[in-house]
Amino acid sequence: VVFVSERKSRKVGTSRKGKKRTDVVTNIETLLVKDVWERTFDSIPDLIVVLDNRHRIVRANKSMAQRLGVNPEQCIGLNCFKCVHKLDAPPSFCPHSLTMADGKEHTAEVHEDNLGGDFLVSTTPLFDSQGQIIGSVHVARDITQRKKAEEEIKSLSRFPTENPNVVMRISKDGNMLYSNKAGLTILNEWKSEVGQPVPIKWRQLVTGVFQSGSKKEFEEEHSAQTFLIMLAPIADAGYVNVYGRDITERKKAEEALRKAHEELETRVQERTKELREASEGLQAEITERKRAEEAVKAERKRFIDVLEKLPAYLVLLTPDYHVSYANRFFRERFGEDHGKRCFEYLFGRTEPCEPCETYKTLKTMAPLEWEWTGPDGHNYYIYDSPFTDVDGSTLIMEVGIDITERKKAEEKLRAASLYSRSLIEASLDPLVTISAEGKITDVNKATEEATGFSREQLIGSDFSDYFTEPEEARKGYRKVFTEGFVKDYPLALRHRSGKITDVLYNATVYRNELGEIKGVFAAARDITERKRAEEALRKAHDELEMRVEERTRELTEAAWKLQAEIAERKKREEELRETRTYLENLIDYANAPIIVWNPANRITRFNHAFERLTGHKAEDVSDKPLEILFPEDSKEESLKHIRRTASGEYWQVVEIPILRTDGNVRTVLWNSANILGKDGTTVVGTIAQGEDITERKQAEKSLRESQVDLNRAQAVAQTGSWRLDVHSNALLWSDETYRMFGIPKGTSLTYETFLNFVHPDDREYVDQQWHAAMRGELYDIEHRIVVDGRVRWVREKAELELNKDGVLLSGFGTVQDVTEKREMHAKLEEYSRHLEELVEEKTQKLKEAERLVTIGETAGMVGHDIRNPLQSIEGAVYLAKEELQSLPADSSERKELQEILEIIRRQTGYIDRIVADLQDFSRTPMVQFRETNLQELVADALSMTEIPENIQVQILIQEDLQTVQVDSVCLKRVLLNLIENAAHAMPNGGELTIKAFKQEECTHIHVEDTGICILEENKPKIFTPLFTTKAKGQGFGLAVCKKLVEAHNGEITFESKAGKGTVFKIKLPQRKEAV
Amino acid sequence: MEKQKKSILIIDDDKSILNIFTRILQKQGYKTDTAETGQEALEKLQASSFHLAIIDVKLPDTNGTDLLVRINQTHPNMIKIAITGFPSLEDATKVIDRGAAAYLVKPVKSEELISIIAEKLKKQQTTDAHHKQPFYSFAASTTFI
Repeated sequence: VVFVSERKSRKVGTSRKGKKRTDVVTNIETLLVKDVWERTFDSIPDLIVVLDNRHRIVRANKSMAQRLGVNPEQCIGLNCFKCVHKLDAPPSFCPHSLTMADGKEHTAEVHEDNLGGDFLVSTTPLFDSQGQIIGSVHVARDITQRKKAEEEIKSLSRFPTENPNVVMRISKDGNMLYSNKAGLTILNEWKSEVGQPVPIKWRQLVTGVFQSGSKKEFEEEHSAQTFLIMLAPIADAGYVNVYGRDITERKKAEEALRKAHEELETRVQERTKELREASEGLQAEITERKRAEEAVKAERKRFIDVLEKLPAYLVLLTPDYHVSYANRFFRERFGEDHGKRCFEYLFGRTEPCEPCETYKTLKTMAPLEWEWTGPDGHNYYIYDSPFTDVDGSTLIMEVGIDITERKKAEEKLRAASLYSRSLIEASLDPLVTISAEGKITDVNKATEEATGFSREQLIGSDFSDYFTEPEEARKGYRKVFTEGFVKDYPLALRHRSGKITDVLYNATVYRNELGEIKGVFAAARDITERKRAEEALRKAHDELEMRVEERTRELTEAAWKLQAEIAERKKREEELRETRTYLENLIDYANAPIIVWNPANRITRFNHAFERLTGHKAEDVSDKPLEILFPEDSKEESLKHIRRTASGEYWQVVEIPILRTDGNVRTVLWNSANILGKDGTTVVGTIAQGEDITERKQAEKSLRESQVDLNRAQAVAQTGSWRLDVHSNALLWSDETYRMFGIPKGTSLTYETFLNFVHPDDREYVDQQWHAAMRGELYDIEHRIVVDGRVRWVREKAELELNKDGVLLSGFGTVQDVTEKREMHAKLEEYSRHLEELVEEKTQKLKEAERLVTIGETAGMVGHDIRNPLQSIEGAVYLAKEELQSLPADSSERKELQEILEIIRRQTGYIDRIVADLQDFSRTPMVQFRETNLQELVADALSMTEIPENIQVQILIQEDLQTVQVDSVCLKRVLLNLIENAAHAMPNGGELTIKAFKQEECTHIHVEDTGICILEENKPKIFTPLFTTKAKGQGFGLAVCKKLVEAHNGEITFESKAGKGTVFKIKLPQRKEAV
Repeated sequence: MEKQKKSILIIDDDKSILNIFTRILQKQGYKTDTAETGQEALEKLQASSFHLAIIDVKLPDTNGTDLLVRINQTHPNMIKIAITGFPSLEDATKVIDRGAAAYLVKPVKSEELISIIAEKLKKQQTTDAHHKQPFYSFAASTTFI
């Protein structure tokens, strides 16, 4: 900023923030400079004045003077606020006043009609040589044109933004350039935003459309909404415009219609009753659908969730500047308020902002829209409106939309105002803007199509003229004004041609920059399709009702016809009945039982004789199945006969039993005849006459039965009988006798053939006895016979009739199978013998046990008694050996005595072992399981015995069997005994093998030798105490081993084979842990 | 270095054992005395003090283990060696519990008896009998169940 002071001591100074100052130049130079500056000053198009501290113009440039309509010279001395602003005092925004107050630069945007427009004003302070503020340089730049352009852009850009339909723009290479509010649904789903690439599928779509150069339309689902999407390429601009309309409701209606149609078709096929129910069901379904729609509406009211998800902020402010609610967007952008007032935590101020746009809405109680730059540097478009809280208190609801990006977009929009227009034009719904007076101010192409009038005709005309009910349209319009918007307001558009289109109107008031309502923006949605769907549904329902009606009528007619037919039949029957009565009497009173049945085997006639035969009354059995006459056991057979008659056959004599009502069965002989129909071939019935032969049959049967009974009795008693025919020498056998001998019934027999069945060993005896019987002696014998290779025992008794001369007249005898009895006897004998053996064995064992107890008792006593003298002998030998030390070392006496003492000592040791074994055996071993190293245990046992050098020892212990749970003392003793025995068994040398391995949860230890084997007769005795084969053995060793192994719950066994040797096997169950 | 004579009481009902043990131990330079019954042993112990006692567990008038309990009460610091002709683990634990320093099974080898007594007496001297440490020992030739 440059200035020239009026003062005599001229100074040229530049000043920045009143801190830096440059002083004085020489006069001549100053003058030269001044001239240049004067000219420059006047040529600057900005309005420049130099003001003193009393707002008087000290200097004005040409531009300024021109605006005031005077020369620059005339300006000097004028009061700035009076001449420029026509005010009595400086205006509130006056930057000069501010500069005078604080000595700093100030700027302001000012609208001043007196100067003809908007200005960007800046003031720079001037100082004198003492640094005192004396005035300021005041520069105003005309920004009227810029402001106008901005206004224009804003108004244009708002249109697509406010459009309830989706409007987006995507560059030909697939970047999202713009999206209006409605488009956010889709953007959110893509998780994308303006400036970012669209999903790949869309990128391909956009590229395709752009290349083809033609529009493309399709439907697509987005967040449960169905959109009708149109892509329009704008070739020159290199992008594609996207327009989408929410057709969810229409789709729903279509789908419901389709479903209803299907359902209706199905139901028409069903019977009348069900159709009625179905119709009710449909009614309910319609109600249900309506209810569902209501629910959806109610759901929408639960907007808090939505608020939280809004990509804009929403806050509720109390009149005392507190934030009573802030949505997530707000909290994320500006943080939590923690109870501070808005200006405190947003701007760190101590007092409310001045001026505060937001709170104006409380004064006016009208909605307010404005732009705001937040503390985060973003630009927000703000919607403020008074809001009545649930408790009745008044709040401000402020919605802020981040328009930072939009602001940038606006820059671009300026160059493409055509585009804004095209958005409106391309909209698929008719869109109109209406002035406050109700006149149409703008329309789009869709409106022209919907009304049939051109844009020129439409603009300026009354909007209500284009509806079937203008008054309704005006009502809706007024509603927009009172409520700010209408939604889904139903109206019918009338086309110039007379065609009516049902639409739902969505409209909002349209405001200018100052928030004044300028008019209404209205978008119509064609609901013809939906209406049509509903109409179709209603029609289908009516049609259904009609069909039900029709069907009912048909059924009623059919019923009438049937009734008439029945009446006719009855009449004919009556005529026939009379002629038949005569014939019936004939049959009824016949003597023989007569029955008639029809082809369905049902009784049609039944005469008196038949009543007597069966006990049934004719009227009871009429039309009953024939079966009731037959007893259960012969029913099938009888029905077979009956069926034969149906095929035309008739009975000559057939026996069919008849069941009487009292349960008795009568045997009846039958003959039958078929009754043929008019054609002479069709059997229409069968008549049968019977003869009761029950008594005759009874006589035959009892005869047969007595024979059967006899046979049965013999079978039960396992007794057969025979009779001897003396004349023919033939034997007559009963059935049972044949069975016993295993010969087919009726085979002819003689005494000789009988004898052949007798067991060879008994044959002579039987023959002798038979001949004795012939001499008159008693014949009652038991002998064996051979039947099918098996021996059986029989008892035979015979009664022979002889005359006084001893000649055989006749013979009768019985044969009884006594095999089982004999076998029982044998078993009993066997069993008693076995018992005796058992007793013997037990007695032996008891004796043995008794002996062992005695041995045990004495062993304990003897042990102690022997050990005392042993101790004395041991001590005595020791002393004697000590004494020997006094003899010369090489004397033969000393050597000999030493040998003798050694013998005594060794034998003492041997006695000690015997005593130990005795004591061990007599005592119940106390086993204490401990974890024991088997390897070490075996080595220990081996070290305790002297193994001759000609015996090779091998130890094979399975690797994972290093430790076992055993009583180490006991087991060592067992191993020691077995090792000693093995060594003894190999006087000429051999191999001693000790193996240990795990198998089936058991530890196995084997001690094997290759020596002489154990004699077969000694094998059962080797574990018995006091048994020994050794010259020097007391016979307790293996007995003790067995006892110790058994104390481990184990087993000890052995195998011994000549030439191979002996192996002793110890098997110990594995124990998990020490006890 | 001249050794101070240690005194040992031998308690056994077998006279020949008393005779032999007396000879063996005196030969080793110990002062010895004998008792044939529990009663006699108690009297002798009251009359004079001993460094060590060899006690037969089976005595005619009293049970050796009971005797051990009584002696241990009156002479806790004296070394007590139990000796028996009828070995059992129960007896062994019993006598060790009742204060015996060792448990020997007859016939014990003379060399072993001598070395055990020497060892115990040496330990008694060094620890001043404050810390009794039971010593488990069985004649090597005897297998013990």
